[in-house]
Amino acid sequence: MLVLDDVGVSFGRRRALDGLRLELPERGVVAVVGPNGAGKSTLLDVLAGFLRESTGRVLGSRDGLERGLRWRRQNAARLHQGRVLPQGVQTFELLSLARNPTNARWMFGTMLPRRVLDYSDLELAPPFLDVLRLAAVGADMPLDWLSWGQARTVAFVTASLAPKAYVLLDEPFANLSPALVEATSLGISELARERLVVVVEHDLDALLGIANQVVVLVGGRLQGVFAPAALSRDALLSFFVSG
Amino acid sequence: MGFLGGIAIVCIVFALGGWATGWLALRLRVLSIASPVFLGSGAYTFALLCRVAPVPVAAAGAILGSGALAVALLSARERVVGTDFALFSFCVQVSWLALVSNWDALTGGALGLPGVPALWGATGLVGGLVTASAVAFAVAALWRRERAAWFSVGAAVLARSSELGHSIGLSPLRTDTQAGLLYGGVNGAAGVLLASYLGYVGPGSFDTSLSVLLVAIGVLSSVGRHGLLLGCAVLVAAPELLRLGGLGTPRAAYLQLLLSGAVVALATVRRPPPVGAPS
Repeated sequence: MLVLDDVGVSFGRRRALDGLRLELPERGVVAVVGPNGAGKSTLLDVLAGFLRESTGRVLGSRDGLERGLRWRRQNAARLHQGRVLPQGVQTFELLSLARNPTNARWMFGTMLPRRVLDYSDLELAPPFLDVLRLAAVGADMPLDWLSWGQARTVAFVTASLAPKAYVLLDEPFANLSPALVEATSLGISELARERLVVVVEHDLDALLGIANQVVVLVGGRLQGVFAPAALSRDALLSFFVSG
Repeated sequence: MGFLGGIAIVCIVFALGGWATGWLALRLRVLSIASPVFLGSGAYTFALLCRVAPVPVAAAGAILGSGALAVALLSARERVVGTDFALFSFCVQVSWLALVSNWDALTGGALGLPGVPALWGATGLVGGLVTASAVAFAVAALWRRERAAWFSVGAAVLARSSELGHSIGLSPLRTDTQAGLLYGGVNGAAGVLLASYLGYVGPGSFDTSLSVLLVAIGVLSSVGRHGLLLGCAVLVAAPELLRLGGLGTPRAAYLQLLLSGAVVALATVRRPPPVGAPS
């Protein structure tokens, strides 16, 4: 999918990412782990096309051509850490939009019926429907009403529905109940069957259960890329401490 | 034109400008103080184009020109967010006002333009506009009960987070361009109407007190179903009636400014939460 060739990002004198060399596959779950301030979210911003790399290049793995910010923005769906859901919009409306973004192109274009408030119209895969049901998010619930955890689940399903080549999830398990973490994990695995999903997460147990690759970052530098089976929790934590 | 006809025209002008300001605040979550710039540019462009082109062409050109100017203003929306946009648009308004007010000092020629032609017969103008406005608002209200515009949902997403918008596949540029054309175009149409009604365009017609009035009506229009009508009745029609009823122009203008300021202050404090939020 993508190759990061000696990518570095600086904020003034601070190096958030330093000489990162990484190859990301076409599909599967790539877990990015590291202590706070390791550059994980910065890496997602670079992959999403919201941050220009200060040094190095992002290339396509097949053709070796450079993937600029515009290409990355067009091909990435990113779940942000914060609460980013719009106000004055119902859950069903947002998810419908994520499914059919071209409908919102023109001001005097098509209208969305307010009374069609059933998830069945969205043809959601079972894991995503389970996530919404477990979080008790009704289709007609205004997004302003949702709790933090409910808002995270809706944002996750929104990012999943977006017709993009790869999905970048920043702490998708934060503030979720154990049951919801499990349902979200199933959703991520489902997504990763056809797309690349890059997940930044501090819940290492849940993350190691679904990851195909684990990228360890400490202080903006790559410590290694591992298969989850070859990496114990203690070994991971030792990277964090020694890094 | 009769006494009530004149008040109706002025009310329609402010209803258009206030609605556009409120629409922008409600959909894109940005408060523009610069509405008089687009209202004024519509009026000036119409007055100038009328000298070289037929009236309908001049009106269309003025509306499009104001729309294009508003697109330029909104091009800063992704970088200038939240309260900063209000400050940014206020500075644009101040600069524009300084430019037109001092045009004579800068160029040696005054920017007051007399002899602006009427759009059509006075009776037809008032009757047609009142009828068209009433029908448009009734149809929009009925339509919106049943259906939500996809575009509005997309605009709400982009207003909250351009990152989420990009993730979904929305285009901030396309959305802002269309929103700017509507916001500027409607204000430009109000300017054309005002210039046509007054028969004269001068810099004094588009000062900062006009900004306050349009923001007040815009705020009212965005907080309730009848806010626009209420705003026009209280902030435009009532002072006009009092002025023509003997209160005098300076006192009526003072009353209008006082009421506008009070409305914005009250609406800011007492403004209901966004649509759908729990009370």
